[in-house]
Amino acid sequence: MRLLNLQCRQRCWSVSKVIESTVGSLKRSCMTPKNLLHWRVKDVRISPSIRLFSHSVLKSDNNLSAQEKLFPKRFTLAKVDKNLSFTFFLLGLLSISSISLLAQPTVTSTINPNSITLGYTATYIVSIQAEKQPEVWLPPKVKDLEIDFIGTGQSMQISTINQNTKTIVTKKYNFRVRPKRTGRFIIPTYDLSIGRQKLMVPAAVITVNPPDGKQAADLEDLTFLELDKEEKPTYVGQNLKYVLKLFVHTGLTEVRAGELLQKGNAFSQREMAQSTNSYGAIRNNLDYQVYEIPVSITPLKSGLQTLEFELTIQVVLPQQRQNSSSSYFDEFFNRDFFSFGGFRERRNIAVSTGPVEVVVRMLPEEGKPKSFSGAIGQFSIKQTLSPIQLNAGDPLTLKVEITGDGNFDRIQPLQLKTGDQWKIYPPKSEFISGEKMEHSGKKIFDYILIPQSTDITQSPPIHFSFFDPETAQYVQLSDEQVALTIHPATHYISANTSVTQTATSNSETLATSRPPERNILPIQLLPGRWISSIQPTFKSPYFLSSQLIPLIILSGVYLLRKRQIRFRDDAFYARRLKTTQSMRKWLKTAKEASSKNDFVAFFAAAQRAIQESVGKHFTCSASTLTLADLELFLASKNSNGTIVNEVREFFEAGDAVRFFSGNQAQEQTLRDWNRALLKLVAKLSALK
Amino acid sequence: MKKLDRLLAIILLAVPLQLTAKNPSLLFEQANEYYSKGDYKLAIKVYREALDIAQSAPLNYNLGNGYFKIGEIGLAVLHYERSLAIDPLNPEVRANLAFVRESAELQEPSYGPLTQFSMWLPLEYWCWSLSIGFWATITLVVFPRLYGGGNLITRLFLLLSVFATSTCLLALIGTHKKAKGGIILTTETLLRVAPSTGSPEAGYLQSGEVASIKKIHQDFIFVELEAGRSGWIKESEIGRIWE
Repeated sequence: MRLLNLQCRQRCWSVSKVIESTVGSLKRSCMTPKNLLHWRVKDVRISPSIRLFSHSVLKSDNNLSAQEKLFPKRFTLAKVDKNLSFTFFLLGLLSISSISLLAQPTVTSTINPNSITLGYTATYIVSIQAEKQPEVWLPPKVKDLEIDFIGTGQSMQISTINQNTKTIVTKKYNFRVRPKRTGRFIIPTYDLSIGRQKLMVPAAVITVNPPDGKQAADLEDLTFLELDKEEKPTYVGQNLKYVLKLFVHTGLTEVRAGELLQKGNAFSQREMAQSTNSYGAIRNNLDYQVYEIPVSITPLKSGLQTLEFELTIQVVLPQQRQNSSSSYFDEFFNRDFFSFGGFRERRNIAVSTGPVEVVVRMLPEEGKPKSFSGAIGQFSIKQTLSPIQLNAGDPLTLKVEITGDGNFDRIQPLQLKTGDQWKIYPPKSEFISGEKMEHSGKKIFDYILIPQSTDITQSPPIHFSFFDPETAQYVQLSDEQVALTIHPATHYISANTSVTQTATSNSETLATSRPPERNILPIQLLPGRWISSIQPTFKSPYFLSSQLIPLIILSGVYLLRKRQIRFRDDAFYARRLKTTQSMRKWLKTAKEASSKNDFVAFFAAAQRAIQESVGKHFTCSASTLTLADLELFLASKNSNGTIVNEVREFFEAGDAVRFFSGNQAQEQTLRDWNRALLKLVAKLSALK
Repeated sequence: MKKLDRLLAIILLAVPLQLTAKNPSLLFEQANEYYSKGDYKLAIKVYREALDIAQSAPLNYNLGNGYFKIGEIGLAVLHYERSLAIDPLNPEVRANLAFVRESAELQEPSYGPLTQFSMWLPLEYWCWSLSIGFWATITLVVFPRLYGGGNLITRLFLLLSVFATSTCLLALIGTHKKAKGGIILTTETLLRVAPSTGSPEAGYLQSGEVASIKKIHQDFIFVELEAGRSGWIKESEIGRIWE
């Protein structure tokens, strides 16, 4: 069950008493009213007001130390008198009402500080948490106590309960309180009207000490520094990321952080990073703004070491108006916050975390790999090679990327064991930080490798090792070797041994390479012909596409000429082309005649088409072929009797139509005759 | 009416702006004015704006002049060379280039005979001549046979076309050799043995020197210079004559 911290602030049921309590370790199950009566109280802080309430029970105010007068004090149950049990019972009841009344207007009143020296002033603050705020008022008059209104302020409190964040806006009405004598003063309870609603302002108390009284509080209460560190095993050389928390009282409006000093010589520290996070917090009933400053340190010595940070800050304080016996704290609260142009003093303050003990261990010798160079953290490795096919003597780049969290500054270039087959140059190193503290990121080494032999078949092996502080063990990483193809060499370069001489002569030349007094020819005034780019013409698409024109023309002329020549030289080819064209023409005529139902024209055309279909096999003109010629030809081609009969049928039908108005031929329609003609011509054309 | 007025105003403002922004000739004239007033840096800036749109021989020539005026020898030589690449016969460009080389004590690059021959004419002339010569040769080889054999004149023409084609081809080979060249842009350019910043030095190169680009490895270029010098330099330290 998750533990909750519940802070409740509520008016006391008792007249003119303010109780402010902090209850820790309250279980969620205890949130029911019944269980609230049985909560486990770890510690209870009692505000000055409640101390007044419990004054008669505990001990007299005069017996308390000055520190106790000013600040809440921690009490344990063991120390609390049995009579207080009743008080805690009441606190439980109050908490029930506090939960139910969270949305109700709340009024608190305090005097800061509640104990001052005579001659100084304090601030009476009435905080109202409500939707509507009342008009400015003056509290009831108290004898020998001057109370003047000085202004209002607004504060915001952000509380998180069960991951739900609530923002509560509270308006503060500030009054200057100036006592005229020593003693204890009470500003009594009174009512405020907000519309029809009446709110009760609780009483507040201030104790005024004689001028020679003790002053315990000082500037340290306005601003202080804390170190937030994790309790983990720490090793020499490890990069540690801690957070410094600078608490600055919200009343200090001008605070400038200066130099951060890490005391001692057991740790080395990087430069201070900028504050990355800021939030409000309450400590000892005072409002603070907390600035988180990440720091990165590296332990240099083993054993129990002391770590202490000291931060110099500059604050603006009201100028001291009385003798030096008064404390900064009193000065701070006595100054007129809300008056402009008052006395102000700029002061440098050194705030310290105080010594914090850190146990630093040495890295274990056992299991330390040979390739270990001091890297501590968690890392991964990746290699890239380019190109993987090259000539001997040509360079290739090996890129090794080490990614992770840890002390990247201790990661040295990996030693590649390559023998004489490779020439290796010192790598180019680059670190890409993943954060401002350079605790995580990527370190890249770019090696230039030059293979010296064609016998090389794979890239050099890579080994990287580091110490993992989480597991307290060394980890050795290696990447697979990449297959390479090395061809025989083409170029060789030798290093220049007279570099100095060359550089000197070059610098001399450079000195004389300034533009001389003689001048160049003037500029040209016309821009000339514009071109899209300076590239060779033979690469331009315009030029390349233009070459298609002569190619197409010449090809066309060539093919045409070749056809002409064949037509001239090949008689069979010529006849075949001619008879085919003629045959198509007569077939077309026959078709037209059939559509007109002209028997005479159809059979005349059909006879001609049949003649042309076999005409390529005769040297004479096809039109001179008779039926006898065709029968003879078909017989020589061993064609079957069907074709001969069909040819004969066409010729005889044609003669009958022409000479005897042949009724026999007209027994069939011309469409049937035409269909038969096409089949016959196809057969005849296929004859070889 | 007010809307119409605004629209007209926008159009009237936008049109000249667009014309100025996209017309390299206007930029060229504007840069010439700056140059005439002695504001060479501004002139170079405007010339370069025109160069981003289109190229011309006078533009590169004027840019070379501008760079020379501000002492950028390497860039001056580069743009004169580019101007010559477009118009190799321009005597002014040749004169200024020779003058700049002389004043910077740079050696005149000793090109081979083919490259020198190729510089007689602009590259595009060689290319089109090659194209015409090639197709003429094809025609004269193929068609006389189809039409009953060529006579003496035809054969003479064939010989001529073959010669012209071969000449153009040689000129293009010479141009190709020069096209692989670049101009060293930075002073004290370090010549390295290997393409690495940690590599031993092989010498220094002077701004404006002509180098032949042989191969590239990442950000480094392997160059060869006269007198057998060779090595790796950074890609940013050399400007290519041809794109």
